[in-house]
Amino acid sequence: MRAKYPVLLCVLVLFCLSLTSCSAKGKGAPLRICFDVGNGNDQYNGSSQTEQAVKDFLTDYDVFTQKYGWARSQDFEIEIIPSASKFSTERAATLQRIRTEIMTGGGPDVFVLNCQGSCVGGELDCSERLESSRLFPYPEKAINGDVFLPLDEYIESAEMVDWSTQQPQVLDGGRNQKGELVAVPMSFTVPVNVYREKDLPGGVPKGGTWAQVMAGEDSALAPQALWLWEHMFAGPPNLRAHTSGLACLFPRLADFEAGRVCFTEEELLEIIQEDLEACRRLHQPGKNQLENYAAFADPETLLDSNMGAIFGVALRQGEPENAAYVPLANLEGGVTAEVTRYCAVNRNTSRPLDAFHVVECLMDAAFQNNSTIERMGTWTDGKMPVDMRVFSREFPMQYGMSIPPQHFEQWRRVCESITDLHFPSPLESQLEDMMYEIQTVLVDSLEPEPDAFRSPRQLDFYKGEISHKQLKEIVHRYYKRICRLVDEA
Amino acid sequence: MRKKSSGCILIAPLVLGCLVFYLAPFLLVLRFSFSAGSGKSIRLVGLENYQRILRNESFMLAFGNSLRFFAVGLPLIMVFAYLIALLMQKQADRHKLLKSVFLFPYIMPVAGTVLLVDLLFSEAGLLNSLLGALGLPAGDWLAGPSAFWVTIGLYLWKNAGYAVILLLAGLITIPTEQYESADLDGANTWQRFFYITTPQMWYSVFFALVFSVINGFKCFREIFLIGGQEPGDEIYMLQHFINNSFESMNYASLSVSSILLLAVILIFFGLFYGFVERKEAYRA
Repeated sequence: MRAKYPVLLCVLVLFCLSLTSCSAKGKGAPLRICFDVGNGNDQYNGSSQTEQAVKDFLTDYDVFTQKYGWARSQDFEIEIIPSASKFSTERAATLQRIRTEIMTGGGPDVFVLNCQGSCVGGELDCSERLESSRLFPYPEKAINGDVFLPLDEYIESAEMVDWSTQQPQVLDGGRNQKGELVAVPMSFTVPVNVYREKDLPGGVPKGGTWAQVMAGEDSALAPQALWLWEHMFAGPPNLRAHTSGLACLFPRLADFEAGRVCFTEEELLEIIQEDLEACRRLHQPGKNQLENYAAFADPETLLDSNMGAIFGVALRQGEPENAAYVPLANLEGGVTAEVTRYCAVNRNTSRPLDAFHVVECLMDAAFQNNSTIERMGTWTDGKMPVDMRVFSREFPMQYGMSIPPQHFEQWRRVCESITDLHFPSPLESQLEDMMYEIQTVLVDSLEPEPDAFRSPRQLDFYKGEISHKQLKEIVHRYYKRICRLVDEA
Repeated sequence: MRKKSSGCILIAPLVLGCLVFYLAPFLLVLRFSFSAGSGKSIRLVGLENYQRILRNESFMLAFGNSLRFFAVGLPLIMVFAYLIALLMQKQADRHKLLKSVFLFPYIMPVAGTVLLVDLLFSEAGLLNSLLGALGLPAGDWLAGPSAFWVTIGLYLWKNAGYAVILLLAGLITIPTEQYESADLDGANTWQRFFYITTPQMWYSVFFALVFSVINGFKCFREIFLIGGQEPGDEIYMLQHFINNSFESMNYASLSVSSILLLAVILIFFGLFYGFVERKEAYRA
């Protein structure tokens, strides 16, 4: 009788072990697609803009893929992660549920996710940074963490998409350390300033690291010095919609595998000091006003990271002046781009081919040009699609709009110069918040002015004063936070 | 024999529940602590996760802070609660309502507690107003080193009453005759405390200690609401690290942290229980 108890206990332990290996679903289950593509404040005509875009996606999917005989959209189970500004509690609960599902070997089959550092909202009531509540807050970690399915084999036998037309420099950002493509970038942005060609008499500056550009006396490049602060003009962190400022100076922010930050506190302090000096040196009142060098007269347009705004001008003007696109050089002399949306297939999927077909459809040029969900991430959001042909004269978007050939050629050159790629994460946000705090100290040291929002006073932040001690304290505080985030990632 | 099998049947649901809801997740966490990846891509990596986490500065900070919290909070709450319980020992039967009053902070909702802390210790709080009225400089009590002491105070205020009730339950079981005979023998208060009360209280103290540790972990909710997801260094606790690791989908880190925490708790309780057992055996 006594011998029975250990046997019974062993059986129960084995039962528990088998429970821990349970998978969430079997093979007959519908294909689950998880969307998190809203900007946090996407209420639109009484319903969510994302919901509407997803409905359109399902219709488009059936139209685009009917000749291939793939799974129909009726076989899909759509999961939209609730908007952060309106349903923050539901969002947190949904994220927790999906993370637990993934942990236990389940979860959605396909992910279509924004990783752009948008704020929650965009309205004055927004109070939370959205990137900290993304499903994968650190996509680069997820890429190397065996969360996503390698897609190379499927790409080789792809039926619908010509993968050679996707920006290789951007696509490579979705590869893991083994070189497998696991996350497919869908849209991206590059820090680039657009000049009138005639405003650069010495021609487009070639090569050089960011430090070399800053050390130079070419005042035509003054906007490059302002780049790091550019997003701050839009207001406090919770009102900003971009995160490609200071972070883009670094080829890589963190090595998640080694659990360390890829730059030191001293380097960070030095960069800010150098940049502030360059701003002060290059922007001399009455002499080097930004307007003199702006491609389209408006410094906000000139400095806007929002490529949509730049191309918008190009689109509206028909055949504008010849432009020179000058990307921001990073610390190593390369160019760092940012992925703003990506899709991936869950490694736990039981239907990898069907899941890949969804990815393929999303990457199709015609789909990228015309579907609502793609336009939400590109044209209307000011980011560029990964297919190199989209928005050109040959592949115009709706209503025949396209980018003028000279501009498009410039854009392609910028893309070819991309050497590094970020997937925005809370680390980028910390850098942005740090810059905003420094700028606030600078602005506060100027003569008081009642309206500080987008006022000339705010644009003149570099005329303000900040002590070395203050600067050091702010940098130290944020650097510590960044280190902690990397430790927790 | 029949009695034994019916007993087994009676406890079977409980045992099964424990196995499914406690043992299975524990085994899952144990497996994650020795693995990398998740779901179908999970693979064993041996002790790599443990080596990595011991080099992780944030984990060490969180672990150190949690230990510091208990190292300071537990003795304080036990001494404080024991003192109150001793003072109440003779009055316990007469003022039954008093015992309920001690539980009021314990049952107060977390949001209410945090509002109270904010009212007292925020920059525009009562404490700073008072200091301002006295001409003293205001302090940032919820940031910097003082935040740790605010959380300790909060822990004491909220949970001491519960420990008092537990200790009082032990105290009132001590027969009054023992005290009366000690009085006849001329024993003073200290001698009564050391030779009559304390030897009979070890199990109650152990029990109160267990619950104080559990309540200490519950205190994280208040700390989280005060300091947020990424609080200052002083109140960055192990639960912050575990919670943030889960949000970052770093299952290995959160599993290893949980296992190490469990190990420390088991060692602590094991040692204390051994001590209590020895004392009880000596008494017997």
